[in-house]
Amino acid sequence: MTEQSFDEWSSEERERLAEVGQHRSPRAELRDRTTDALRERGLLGAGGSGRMPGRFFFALAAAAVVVFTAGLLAGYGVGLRHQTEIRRDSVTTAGGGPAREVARLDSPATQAPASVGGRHVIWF
Amino acid sequence: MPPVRLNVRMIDAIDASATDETLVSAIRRHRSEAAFALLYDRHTPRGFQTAWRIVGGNPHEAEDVVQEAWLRAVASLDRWSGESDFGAWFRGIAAHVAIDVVRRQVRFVLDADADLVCEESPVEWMDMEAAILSLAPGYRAVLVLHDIEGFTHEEIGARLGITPGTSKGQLFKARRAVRARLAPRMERRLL
Repeated sequence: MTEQSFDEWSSEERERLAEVGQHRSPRAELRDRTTDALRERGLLGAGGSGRMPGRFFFALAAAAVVVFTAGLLAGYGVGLRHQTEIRRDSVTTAGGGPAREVARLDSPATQAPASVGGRHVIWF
Repeated sequence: MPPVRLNVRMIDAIDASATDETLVSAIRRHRSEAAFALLYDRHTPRGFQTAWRIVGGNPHEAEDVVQEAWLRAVASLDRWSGESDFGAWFRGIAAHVAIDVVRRQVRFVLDADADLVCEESPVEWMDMEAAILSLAPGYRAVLVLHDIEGFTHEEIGARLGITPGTSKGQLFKARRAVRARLAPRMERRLL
């Protein structure tokens, strides 16, 4: 990486240059300090891709409970509305009306023969 | 070379003989503290020395630089290509952080009229270390990055925000200043 430049160092100077700061070393506690800082930023330790943290499971369980309760309430609401409609219908048809008229039209007495004028009508 | 894939059992078995690539993979995939501890022990000493030289011999600042350098390095492990030397990559980050520290602390002296030497030494001559540490931060950074860390003038220019030509000029002046401080010692040796 080094390139030749003007005013180069002598070999003795180069040796002394290489020695500058070589005997210096950081304190041992720097490793713990650095590891703690990495842990705080979520770059090291628990929570790695291989393991699921407890907080994640708690959030997952809470979300499941919310979804289940919402589904339960929605289903109860739909069921209640359906029941109300059935009751309303039965009240309307009690004195005769459109429903009875439909029943009369569908009865075999009023039904046209299966083959009318050579055409077959199939009811599904 | 295919990427290194580790399972949990392999992480437990990581030891000092593991390659940098294996350790980096364990940190990236599993945030392995054991792998980081090995990588730290392997590359911190030289990273610290680089930082120490650039910040001018202050050990506390050099430690802060090393810590910040590791934070940046681990956060950007994806950018390290397994083909390059991890130590050189990490020292590059440490040098970058150290330069930022020096920039924040003092005006980065790189103009022609600026004083080359920060402080006058009470002694008649200095050793190489003291002579380099006595240089103004900008000159010291250029000299340390080029003559000790092995960066090119283009790389130094990119890091310091100067042209390669300016870097060459500052290196020339920095060397001359260091020599001037060493000269009495050399003369004394000849007597």
